Amino acid sequence: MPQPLPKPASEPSRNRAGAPNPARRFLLVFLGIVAAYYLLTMVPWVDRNLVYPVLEFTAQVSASVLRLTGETVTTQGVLIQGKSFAVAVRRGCDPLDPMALFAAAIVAFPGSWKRKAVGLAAGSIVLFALNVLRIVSLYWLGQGHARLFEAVHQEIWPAFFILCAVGLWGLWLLWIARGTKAGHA
Amino acid sequence: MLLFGLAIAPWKPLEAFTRSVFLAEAHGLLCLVFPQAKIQAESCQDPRHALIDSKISLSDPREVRPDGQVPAKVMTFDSRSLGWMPHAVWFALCGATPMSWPRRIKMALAGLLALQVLVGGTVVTAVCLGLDQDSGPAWKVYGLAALNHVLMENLWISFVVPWLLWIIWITQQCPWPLAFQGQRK
Repeated sequence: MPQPLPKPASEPSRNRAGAPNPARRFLLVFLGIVAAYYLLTMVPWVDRNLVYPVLEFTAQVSASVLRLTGETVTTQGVLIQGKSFAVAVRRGCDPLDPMALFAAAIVAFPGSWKRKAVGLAAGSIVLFALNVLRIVSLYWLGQGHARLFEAVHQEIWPAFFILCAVGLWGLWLLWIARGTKAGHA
Repeated sequence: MLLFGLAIAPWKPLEAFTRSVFLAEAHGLLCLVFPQAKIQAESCQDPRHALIDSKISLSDPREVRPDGQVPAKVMTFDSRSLGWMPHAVWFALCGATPMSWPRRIKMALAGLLALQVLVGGTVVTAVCLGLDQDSGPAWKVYGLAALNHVLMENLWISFVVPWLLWIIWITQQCPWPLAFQGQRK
């Protein structure tokens, strides 16, 4: 049975030393990074030179995985072309938004930079691999189940993906909490 | 995920209801933004795009062609992805977060208001871009296209925004970051 959250903390917004409270600081840094990410993705140059290569790389890795499973596919830019079906890895098919959410939450949270770097590297690899799995599964699904493809593509995978990003952040929190306890013991 | 699964289940009455709410909101908002224009918001089907289910047309009764016809700008939308999906994620998050019912309802209503801003902003941005992209000033088209790129073309935004709202709410309501106050080294 889940326990209700504790009542809102009644601590002042600033502590005695005059520094903003950690929750507010976390929120400001977190939202600042997310806002900066979205502002950057609005710039066409960033889209062309940073986002598009990620999409291309994702398409290439996904095609390689599909070939390992016996599919005959070729890639052309962001397009994965099979015998009877093709998928284009477009904006939204990349793992960048969940990665940005994850990275912002890690950077904003108080902790050592070493642990943040480990969390960022491990989380990014897991999210990228998960996205490749997503594209491979969508390719398989799209070959015979067009209607199901749309539901899984537009609704189920994105929701699950974001949940995974938040879950990874939760795991990272547990990891640093254990480190703190071990450090205090 | 269970609550989200229930919210996105393919129930025709729910789909019809959410689409009609989306159309009514879009119509009301556009009437406010473009008081001179004649606006029609209706459901539609596009055989090329199965997800497109809503159509908004704008015309200015003052701009009558020599042949007596009034030119109209028609834009199509996927009301489920743009309108319902962020709500489904939000309601699932509200339902899954352990807290008392009064606070849960308060959270749901606050998020609901914020999501109306997101959905309204998305529709108005798309419509303004549709109206201005041929004849509007370059800076305005550039700004609207950039905003449209994030709000309309990016699949993730419908899922990221509810999570952002959830993190804001939780950070304000729960003193968990205080537990890690001494982590910074």
